[in-house]
Amino acid sequence: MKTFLKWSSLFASVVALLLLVWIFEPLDLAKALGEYLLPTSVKTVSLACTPISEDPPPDLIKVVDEQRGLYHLRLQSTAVCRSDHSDPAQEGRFSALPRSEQFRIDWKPLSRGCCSARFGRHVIVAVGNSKESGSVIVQAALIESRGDYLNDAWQRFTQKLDRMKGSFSRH
Amino acid sequence: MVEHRTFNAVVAGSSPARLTNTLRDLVERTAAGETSRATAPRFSQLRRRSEQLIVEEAQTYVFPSPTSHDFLDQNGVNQCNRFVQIVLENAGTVPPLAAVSIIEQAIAKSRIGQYLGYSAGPSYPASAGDWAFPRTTMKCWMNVPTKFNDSLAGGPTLDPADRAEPGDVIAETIFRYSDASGHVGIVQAQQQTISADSAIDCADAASGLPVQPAGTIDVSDYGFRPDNWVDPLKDPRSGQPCRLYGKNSSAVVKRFVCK
Repeated sequence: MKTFLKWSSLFASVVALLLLVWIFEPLDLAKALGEYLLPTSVKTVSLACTPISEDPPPDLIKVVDEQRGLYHLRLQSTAVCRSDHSDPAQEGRFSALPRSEQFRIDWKPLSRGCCSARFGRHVIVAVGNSKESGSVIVQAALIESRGDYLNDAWQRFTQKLDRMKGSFSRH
Repeated sequence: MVEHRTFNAVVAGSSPARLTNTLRDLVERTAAGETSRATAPRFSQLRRRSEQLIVEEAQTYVFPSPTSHDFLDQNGVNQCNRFVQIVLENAGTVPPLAAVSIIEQAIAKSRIGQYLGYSAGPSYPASAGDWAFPRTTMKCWMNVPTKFNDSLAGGPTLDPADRAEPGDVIAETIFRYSDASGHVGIVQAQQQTISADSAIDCADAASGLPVQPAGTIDVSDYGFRPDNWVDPLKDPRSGQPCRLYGKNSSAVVKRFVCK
């Protein structure tokens, strides 16, 4: 009886673990745990522009504030820089997020609002003003609270469950 | 049957000497295994026709076509597999089927599922990762031999991309993407892949061209880049190379083999 209980509990544990891995997907789960356990840091991206000590333009700071409110984030740092590069297609305000493949691998763009991308709990907002002489770019580093981050993970989990229920109900 | 009909027609209007020569020729060709090719033109012509249709259909989407923006990246997620699926459907071929129930999803993930024509993933259409799985043969889509196959056969070794032909599907698994399993496109010719290009905006900006949104359909050398390739185009915003992937040795090529 003891052997049976031992093997059945082992089997149940393995099934539960496989189910967890399947539902959360390993990287997502690992990242969520890492984000929860590791100390808070500041993450920024390297932009091809020269740092300046001016105050950020108010219209660009407004964009940062909007993203902060939209995703309930905390502002960690703000940096202003100037770029000689001026994209003729960009007039006025533009997203200054990098377009390189490396950036796309590391950071996931946020769908709501403007000019922001996420890496785990970290969010950056990179927005610029284009002028004939070049551009002024503001990069802000923001962070989501651990509670909100886990809540988001939970939402993704429940969405997966809903999709599974949906696929069962079709048959 | 074709070789028989051909042979009878030759026999009907031939002198004995010519008939003997024809027979000898036929026997020699049979011994050399050439007569089986008599039926081959019909099949290969059909396959060529399918390949041609796939390429022609894919070309209708290439920028500056009005439909070149039909598969733009959504929230940073590339729609390259959807583009391939639509092209293959419109060209009248058999793209991998969807798995709709959880049971079918389980089947789809198994080897049997691959042969039944399901994609390896639970979502529809087949993902880039499905296309790029080198040991998966999806219904009607056979892998072009790899270097490993060549080494077993003892011949010269070639990457699948070196053997790519117009109308083939070329794909690569990219594990580092958080929201995609890789990239997939249609081979237009050697060194030319038509795909929903998520790096087009970066490449355009670096080249000083009007910037097209990520996911615009274009022709690139994706899947044919040498191993030591470093993108000469750099993102003006970050200074990083626009593109990192699409190397020849990483590409998996699948070919439509059904009539």
